[in-house]
Amino acid sequence: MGGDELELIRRSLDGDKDAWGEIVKRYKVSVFGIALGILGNPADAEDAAQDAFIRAYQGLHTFHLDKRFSTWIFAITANLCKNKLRRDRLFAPLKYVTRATKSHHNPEARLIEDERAQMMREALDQLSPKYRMPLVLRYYGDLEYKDIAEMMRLPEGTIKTRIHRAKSELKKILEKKGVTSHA
Amino acid sequence: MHEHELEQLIKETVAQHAAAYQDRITDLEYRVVDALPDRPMVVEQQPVWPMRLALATAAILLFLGGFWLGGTLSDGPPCADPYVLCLVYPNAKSVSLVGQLTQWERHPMNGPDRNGIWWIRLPRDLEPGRYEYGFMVDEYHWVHDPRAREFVHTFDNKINSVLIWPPSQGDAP
Amino acid sequence: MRYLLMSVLIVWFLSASALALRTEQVTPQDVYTCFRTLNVSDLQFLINAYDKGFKDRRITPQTALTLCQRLAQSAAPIPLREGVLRVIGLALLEELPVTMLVDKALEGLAKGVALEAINDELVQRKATLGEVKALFASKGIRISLTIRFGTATLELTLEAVDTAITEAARALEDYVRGGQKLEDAAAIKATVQRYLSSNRLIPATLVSFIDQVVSAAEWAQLAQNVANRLKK
Repeated sequence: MGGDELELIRRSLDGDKDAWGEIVKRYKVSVFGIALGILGNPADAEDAAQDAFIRAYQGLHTFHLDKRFSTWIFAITANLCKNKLRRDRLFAPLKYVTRATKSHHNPEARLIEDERAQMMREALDQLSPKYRMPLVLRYYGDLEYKDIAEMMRLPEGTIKTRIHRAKSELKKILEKKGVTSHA
Repeated sequence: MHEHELEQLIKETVAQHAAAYQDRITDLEYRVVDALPDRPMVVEQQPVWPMRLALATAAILLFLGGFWLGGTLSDGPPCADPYVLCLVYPNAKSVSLVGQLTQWERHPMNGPDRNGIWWIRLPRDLEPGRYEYGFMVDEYHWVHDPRAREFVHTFDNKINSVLIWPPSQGDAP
Repeated sequence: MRYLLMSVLIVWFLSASALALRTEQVTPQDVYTCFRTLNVSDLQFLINAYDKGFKDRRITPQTALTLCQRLAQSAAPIPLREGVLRVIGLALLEELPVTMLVDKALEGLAKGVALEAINDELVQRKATLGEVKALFASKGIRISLTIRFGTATLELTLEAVDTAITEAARALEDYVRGGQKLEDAAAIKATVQRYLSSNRLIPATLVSFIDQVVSAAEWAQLAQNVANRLKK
């Protein structure tokens, strides 16, 4: 962690909200990305990102200054997303089932993505959250297996297995869609 | 598709998806700051006891002959006391003080109280000096003391908190 | 209530006495017995080194036994555990203070740090202690010598010199490991002086003397050496 980031965190611990605002500015894109990767719905992801930063500030004393801040904030975000998915599954099964299609309604958003990425996103949407979450944390969030395991309260081996299976599944889906290697 | 290419594509896909909706988070920092509570930490409150009960308890504690014993009988952590180290960690199953004060042995802390505060009383005869320490949460998590005024980096860049004794005036306890 | 008070005090007194008796009973032989149980490859080296340490009063049998017992609890291979004892043994033979080394070893073991990393850390810090000792010696700060500072004179005890070496080395290590600027010689010197002042075992006259005779550039050079060792 950079010295000035550490300083921002220390100032935040002392109640300096502007310092925390600076932290939010630095991490908002990646935190939003994690939430969007897991939830798939931009509105929900936006709420989750905002909630994650507020909760992180409230619990800042539990952050170990010797750890990567990104790992910590991503873990908070992922947990919020997990809870959100669980609530949705319990209270509105239909909403959960259809979440995969919700994010495709913005035509502008579609234009920005290239075709391969769009196929990949559709493939990701087909995965169950228990596979998608570790995948997003590992390859977008750049988290270590052990951090994901700790966050999801599962053995590291289980996480590795889930990521392996998720990748095999993605390959199959993409191959069916005709996506091949660039190489 | 190669493994590496697949992983790269996952990363790019999520990044592109997020970029497509970036306008949603343009002013996120302002919204977050507006919604923040005043302090990030749960500020420990001294238990507010009725005066009589407080007096009676104080008398009993004095009778039992020691502040140290008083600390263990009291039902709230006296975190404002400079002789007491506190850590707010509601989800922990156990917290120990580990450091030069304990010859790096784990000394279990009291708690948690209803606010998730763990605490431990320092010896009354603590010699003046600098003492490095930290908290071991659930047997293996090394946690620094956010209330410490100094920190040093040690193994694996883990951080030790430093207790400067006696605390100078104006320092947090 | 009085009976309760009495019984609490009696139990406390008895356990404190028992602890004190046990503490007094630790002898060098207890330490060597512990070394034997570790199945170290070069027991004689350790005995010679620690024997010198006990005689020079740089380490107590109690501290050495604590270290040995904590190492005995580690699951690491014997050579690594022996390595920790050896580095400290070498420091004792070189007449260096070992408080910081023992402290770091116990800290590492308490945190579950890999013994390779503990050994590396001890080797690096031992080098720093050696350099600080040499720097002090070049300025006339040696055990049993008398320094004159202004109107004050001070006979340097082993405790004062060893503690000053330890605190200065600790300050340099903390400064560099904290990622602070190596080119800011004044800040390095200020950190060293602050650490020296905060330890009661170092007489104020010695702290002032060091401030007078050791330049910021000299401390900065040692800090640079610490940084170079850390990069390796």
